[in-house]
Amino acid sequence: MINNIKRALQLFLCIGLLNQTLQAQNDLQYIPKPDLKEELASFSLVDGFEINLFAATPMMEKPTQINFDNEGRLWVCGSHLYPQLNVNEEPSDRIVILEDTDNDGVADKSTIFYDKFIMPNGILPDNQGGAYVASSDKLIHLSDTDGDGKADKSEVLLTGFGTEDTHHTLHRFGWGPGGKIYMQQGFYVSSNVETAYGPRHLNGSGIWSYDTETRRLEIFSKGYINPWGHSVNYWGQSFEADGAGTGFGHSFPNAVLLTSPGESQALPSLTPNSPKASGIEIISGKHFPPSWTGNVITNDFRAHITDRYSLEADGSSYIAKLEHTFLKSKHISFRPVDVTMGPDGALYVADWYSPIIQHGEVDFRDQRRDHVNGRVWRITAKGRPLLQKPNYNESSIPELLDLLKADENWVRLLAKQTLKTREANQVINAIDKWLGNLNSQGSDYDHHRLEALWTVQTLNLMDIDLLKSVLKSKTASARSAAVRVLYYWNEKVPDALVLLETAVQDSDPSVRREAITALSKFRSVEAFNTALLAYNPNMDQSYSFALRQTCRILSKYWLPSVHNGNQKRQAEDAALIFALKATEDPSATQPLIDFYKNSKNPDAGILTVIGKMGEPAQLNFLTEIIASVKGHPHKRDAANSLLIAAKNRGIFPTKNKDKVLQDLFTFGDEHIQETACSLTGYWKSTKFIDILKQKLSKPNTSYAIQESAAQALAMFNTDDIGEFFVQIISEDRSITTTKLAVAALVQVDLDEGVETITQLLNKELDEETIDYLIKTVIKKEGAFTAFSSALEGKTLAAKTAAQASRFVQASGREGAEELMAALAKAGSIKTASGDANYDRSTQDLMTKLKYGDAKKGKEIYLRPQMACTTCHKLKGVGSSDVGPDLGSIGASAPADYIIESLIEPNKKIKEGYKSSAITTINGDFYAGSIIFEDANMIKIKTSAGTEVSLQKSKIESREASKVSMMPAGLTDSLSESEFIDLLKYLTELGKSH
Amino acid sequence: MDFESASLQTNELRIYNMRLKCTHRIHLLVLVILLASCNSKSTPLQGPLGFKQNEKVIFLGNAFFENAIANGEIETTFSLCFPKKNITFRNIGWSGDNVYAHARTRARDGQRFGSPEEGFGILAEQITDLKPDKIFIAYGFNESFDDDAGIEAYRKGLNRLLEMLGQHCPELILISTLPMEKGFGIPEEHIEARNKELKKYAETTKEVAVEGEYRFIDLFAPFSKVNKYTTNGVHLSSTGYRKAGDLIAEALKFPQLAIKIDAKKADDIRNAIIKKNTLFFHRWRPQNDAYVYGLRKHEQRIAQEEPAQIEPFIAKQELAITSLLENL
Repeated sequence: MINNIKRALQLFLCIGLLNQTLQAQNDLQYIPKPDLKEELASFSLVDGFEINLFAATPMMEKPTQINFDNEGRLWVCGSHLYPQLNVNEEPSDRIVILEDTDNDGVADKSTIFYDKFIMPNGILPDNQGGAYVASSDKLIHLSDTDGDGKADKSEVLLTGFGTEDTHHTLHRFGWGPGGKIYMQQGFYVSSNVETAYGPRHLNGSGIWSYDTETRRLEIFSKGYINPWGHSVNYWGQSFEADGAGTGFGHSFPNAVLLTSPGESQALPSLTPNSPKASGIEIISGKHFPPSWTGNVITNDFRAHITDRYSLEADGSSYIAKLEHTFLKSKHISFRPVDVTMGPDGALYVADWYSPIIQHGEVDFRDQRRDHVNGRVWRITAKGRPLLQKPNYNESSIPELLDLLKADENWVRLLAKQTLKTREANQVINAIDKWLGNLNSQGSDYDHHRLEALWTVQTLNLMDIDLLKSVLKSKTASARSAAVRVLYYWNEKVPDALVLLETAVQDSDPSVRREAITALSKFRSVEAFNTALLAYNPNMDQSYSFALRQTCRILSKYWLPSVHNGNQKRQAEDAALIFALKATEDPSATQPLIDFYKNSKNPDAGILTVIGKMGEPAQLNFLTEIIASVKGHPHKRDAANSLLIAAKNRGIFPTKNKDKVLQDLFTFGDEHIQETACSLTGYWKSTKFIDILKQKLSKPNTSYAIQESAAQALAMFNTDDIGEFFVQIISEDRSITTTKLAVAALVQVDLDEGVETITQLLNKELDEETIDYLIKTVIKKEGAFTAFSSALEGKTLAAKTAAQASRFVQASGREGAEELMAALAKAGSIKTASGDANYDRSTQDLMTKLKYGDAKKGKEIYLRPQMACTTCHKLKGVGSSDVGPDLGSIGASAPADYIIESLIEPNKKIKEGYKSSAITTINGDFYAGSIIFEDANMIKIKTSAGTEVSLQKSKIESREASKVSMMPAGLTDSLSESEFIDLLKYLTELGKSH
Repeated sequence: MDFESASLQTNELRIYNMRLKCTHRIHLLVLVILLASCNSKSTPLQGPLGFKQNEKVIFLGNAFFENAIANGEIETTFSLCFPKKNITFRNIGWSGDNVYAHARTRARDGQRFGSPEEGFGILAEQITDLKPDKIFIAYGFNESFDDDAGIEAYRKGLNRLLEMLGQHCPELILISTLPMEKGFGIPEEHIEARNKELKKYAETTKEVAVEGEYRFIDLFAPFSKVNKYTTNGVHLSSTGYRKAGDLIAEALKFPQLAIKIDAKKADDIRNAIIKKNTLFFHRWRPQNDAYVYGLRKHEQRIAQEEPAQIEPFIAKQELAITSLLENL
């Protein structure tokens, strides 16, 4: 009763809010009415299928996840509170159970199971009348002890999940084939969970596995940006959709996908050029056409599309191929966020329903957010019979075991879940009988036995004989799944290492990959040596990554045995070399050097490792290679490695430096000459100053060498060097030489340097040169102020001043505004803002958007002077990653957001694209976004699009920029109609495939 | 000598000395000498713990305190022992936390989360802001998974924490780890091994208390006797928290509860306390923290404004609690 009143009240409030919302949006004219018929009419579906409404508000909450139980009831968790609880507001998000009691494909009964949550993002029925729920910082189990269909007991199972970003909190629950619960969390949260087995910390995204029987919580895999959906295929392999990355990928224990804090390497998704995806289901069962079995369905929620991919085994992982668009809507509020197959074999799509998604880019309290509506749509195959739902709870144990033979993935899963509720001994006895009666010639024989093994695992029991027998299956995928069971049972299996020794040498790479991963659970050198048996030079990416992880996890056992000489090794032990490199541990450097020394056909990669991790004495090994062996084939690798050590770590060799330089300058090719110049500078080898001077001043030297020589000379930082630069500049040589000399002069004599820049800017210069000169100023501490003073009273061409000003702004450094003002004054130009040829009011532009021409807009986008393509890619196409990929900007961002981003880039900096300015103690300067950071190093993607790794101890200063890397005023030169065309083009990007 | 000053001890006096006017100083110094001579080196500080008017108490630790927010038991017991003292309680327990305050690091900035050391600094800042008069400290559970090898690190970390807290607060009370309970599907051999370690960490906490002359409350021994106080083997149920509240009150020789803990009026107070603590939780650990402190800060102005708007509601709730207590 109380619930009904509440619901009525809520509805009343909702309608009130809705009216307000619509009124407020009248000007924008693009918030559609939440009309179900209109939305239904907006769908286009691939041939052979039809769609109907299964349920909508007020029967349900705005859905974040949907999951069926073994009685065919659909559990919906959702949130009208998203993205943030109001101040002093009581939690009121609901878990709703939907039922289709007359089997007509439309829900006719709705029960509010619980209504006191804050943004629950995961729901999993326990098939005993209760459910597991992801509630903000907690994992909760709800149960209905009095059988009235409503939760009356809420038990907190775990606390401490991160809440820093409400669409990254604990979410998306599902049963694994072995009975564990798998749960995900996103990029922005940090979890500290207390368990009976110890605290569990996970920074950033990953999958958790939770064992409801033993209450054990573990990290299954890490990575992705915001994994939002996890599905398991016929053979137990995991696939995750990435709601903030690219499409979906293949996950396995110890895997790191895309990115994860503190991880220096990661695997790509299976669909690297696909849009963000939410919710994932793997098609199975007799209702869908047979050719669809095993296909992946996932939602491009930004573009209002549900996609279909076919999946094919490839080495130890998979290849995914995008098929014809499955479902598409023209309705901008259709937001498919979850997808699951239902008891009748149909596909159910949860529709979050909102014109606005996410909560970073649009205000938390933006009126256009829909807090009311949610839908579940049901898709059926035309002319194909629907399935009968098994009556799990009334089936006998043998009947339930027979359901393990079903084609439908969910039937087998629910059968196992139901078996868990029966007397374990009876189930075990019945399994023995059931196994004995299987037809060993049947095509699914291996899979049936695997299901029996998973049932034992689900019951939290062990059956070593069954495990051993499934490990010997004819079907590789069954063997691979059995090895995964061994991963979980690990040291409890008596002769596990013997079994794994066979598995790492299996003929199938996916079995070997699983075996490598399972070995990471065994705390011994023996396990490591067994894993190395799986090494081969042609490992695929996932396989190689699995081996790398096992080597790293076990390194505390085996690395000491390498150091004390106990580790057996052969001269050409490529596997051990792989393992040593994988550790990224400085103590692995010496053993690697020894390998290099003793090998007949040494691995040049070892030389790079020395530069990255070696001590000065170990760098001497590199100088020895160059200095003492004439024409050594790895001379270039050794020189590069020395430069890495000098540049990134400030570490130099102690011997043979002059000999090395002599050799490199005498015999080296272009590239080596360039490296030699840099080394001369870092090493401050005065003997070679004259060579550097020659390299800079000689007319025919290549640009790369000239630049390297100029920068190296500047490192000497003495008066006569400054005089030399001044002389070069006065000789009025080519603009290239002059520019390089000026840049170098700034390093050694700031005042003189900025003075010459001011003079130089008076000449007719191309954009590239201006950019170079400004970058020089940006790099130097205090140069902004000095340059501003130098400009005082001077005049510049307006065009030059404007261009220079743009580059200054792009740097995002402190003092940029002052310098921009000085440039504007010298060039007698108006500042960038307020200079546009059109009315910049967002609302005004919005109303004119309908007159825009996307085709013309594309031409404007591609104009070189607009510079859009200089920094942005479109769906992975393009040369630079400086700014975000705009391939689906239209589908993800509302038009007003795009307008503001174009006019005032600083107001809308996309997550992950905030720029930082870093100066090293060597005086090197880098501006760009930080893409990786741990305690020791930092990896920065510069505004030029290149990646640079830097040792933290070598960083002198570091500033987080408050401004966008995108210069303001880029669109100022456009006419209003051109601006509208460009806007139109951008708003349509990603709206169709 | 009144009840409150009798409970003052050397470590508090150092601070009180600085705060009080010269006239009090001599009087107190005499007290120092008197009390110092009474202290024995083998037991932690004994004697009743009293409260002056309007004191602020902090509960600091891991999930032991964080989970207490949901049932308000310990705080209700304290309030009913001192109904007229107008004590303010702030529960800043954090699941998974340890003596280094690792769990308290801020939201991520790019690829990086706050370093563990940042957590300690953030805690120090928070303690400075809160200006507590007493801090109840419950750590050791998470640290105990480092087994025997981790004991010395725990001792060192706890001492460092106490030193920092001591700079801002005159009275620190240490609470021991609790034993694990049997059942809940957790293998028995695991529980046995864990309890050996948990006991050692409880003893270490006691040793630190003796050494630093702090009060120490042993919950390990009393909770070892009966097996019915947790929800999952490691975290207390409401009944467990009620028992813990009793044990703490008993150990600190608190006065009798003003009314029975299961009285209707006690329920009202408990509910008011839970509401206040929930509001405070959203104030200091707001959802969408990444938009308040982290990388996404520039994206949302509202995220930064709204948490502070909770404060008047906390104050209102405090008044409600005070009024309930005054009208017992």
